[in-house]
Amino acid sequence: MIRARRYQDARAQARSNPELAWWVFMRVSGVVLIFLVLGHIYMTFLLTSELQASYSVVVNQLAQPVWKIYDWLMLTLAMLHGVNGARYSIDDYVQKVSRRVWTKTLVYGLAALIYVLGTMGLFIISKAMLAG
Amino acid sequence: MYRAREGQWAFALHRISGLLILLYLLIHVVSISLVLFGANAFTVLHDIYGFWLFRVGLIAVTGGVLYHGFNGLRVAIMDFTGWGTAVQRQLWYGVLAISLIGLLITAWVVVPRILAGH
Amino acid sequence: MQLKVKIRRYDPERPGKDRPYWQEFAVEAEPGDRLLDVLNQVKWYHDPTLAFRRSCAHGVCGSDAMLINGRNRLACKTLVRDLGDRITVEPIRGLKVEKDLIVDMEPFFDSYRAVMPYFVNDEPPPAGERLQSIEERQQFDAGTKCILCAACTTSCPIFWVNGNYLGPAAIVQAHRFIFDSRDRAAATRLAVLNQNVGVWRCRTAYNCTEACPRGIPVTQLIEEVKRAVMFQNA
Ligand code: FES
Repeated sequence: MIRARRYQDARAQARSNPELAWWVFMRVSGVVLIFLVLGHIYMTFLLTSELQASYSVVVNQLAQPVWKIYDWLMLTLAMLHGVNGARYSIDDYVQKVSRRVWTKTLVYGLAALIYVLGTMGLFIISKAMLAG
Repeated sequence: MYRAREGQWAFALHRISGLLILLYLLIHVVSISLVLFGANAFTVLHDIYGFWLFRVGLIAVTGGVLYHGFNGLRVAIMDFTGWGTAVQRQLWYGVLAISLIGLLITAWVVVPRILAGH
Repeated sequence: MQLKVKIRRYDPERPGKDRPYWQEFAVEAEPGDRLLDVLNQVKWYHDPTLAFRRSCAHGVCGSDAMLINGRNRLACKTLVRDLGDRITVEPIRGLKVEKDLIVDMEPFFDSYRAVMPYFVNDEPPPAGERLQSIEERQQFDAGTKCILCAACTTSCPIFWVNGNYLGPAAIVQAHRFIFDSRDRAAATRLAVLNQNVGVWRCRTAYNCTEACPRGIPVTQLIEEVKRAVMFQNA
């Protein structure tokens, strides 16, 4: 936080940080995500009804390496992009320090958990699951 | 209410749509991951999502993704080109038009399915 | 014409008035009068306790930025005929209100000081002037017009909720020196702006650009500073 009465204070408070990298990441990942997500929506929601995505259909599709990679890339980029966006919002709207720490812990924790779950799912799914 | 012009509403919509999409993403990943816990767990939730209101919700998510994506493109243009800020208003109306058209197409494809129940 | 002027009042030292409240005044004014004239009429003939800042009355000192009919403007540059006969006046947002339309400007000026808003060049002075081409001067021309009225910073939806953000005005001031070919401290200024509370808080909402009474393309200058930070670190 920079609240400086003189420039010297400001410089003392300025430290190296990843904000520039995140800023660039948001734009680059955003452009990639437009293609990935709109493609995903087109294929699973417009070309076929999402009701058709039954257990066997989902397992069959996600058992193929190409969809594993497609979905995992989309999942990773969307998670990073989304959680960083949430961080921007939390930094803006949650001003009380203790509450901000809690909100961030909660959001990051939940997102990380779901990301691990999703990643595991993508890599574990195989056609063998249909046999049983 | 501050009586600002397009830019403020572009920002507000971008932020709201972004947060809602994140929320949807988290729920969506959990529901698909239920595959890990067997056909039953997956199917129970899958059937609940068949309720028409959730399906209409998916159309809204599509609209939100279109808006967030194309407005994000508008932001990137403003950030990385010298001319973007001068035409930000026109760009935003373009974004709205694309999102609206995309939303209408989606509704045109999906609403008949919802009515027919398949 | 007959005006109804609604003013957001607050006086921490008077019991009963120590919470913000609205007060309406009926004022007679010409369409060509400025809002500042209307406020003066209220103060001189209706209620002498009304407090607001003004000095030059000609849009150069930057004292009287207010939230007028939902937009930040200078009272001395806003004509009654552009406002209609129902006018609301509030203090600018995001800074602590001290009394009526007067806010505490110190946090605003702290951010201003944080970006080194002065010329830095330790090289030995040349025999003549430090010459500059027309193009070089053009680069930072817009920023020189700033009068530090805070209309931009207090119109920013991020600044309203996050007072740590340095704000558009400070970035415009930084831009004015960063892009001055004679100045030598651009790198240190960019280090201050390359912070969570610096240029990266800007969400390009354009309220600042629309609020600026001097017509500075504020958002564009902020974008130029973002790119300067990026190129410096590339
Ligand atoms: S009184 Fe000086 S700018 Fe309005």
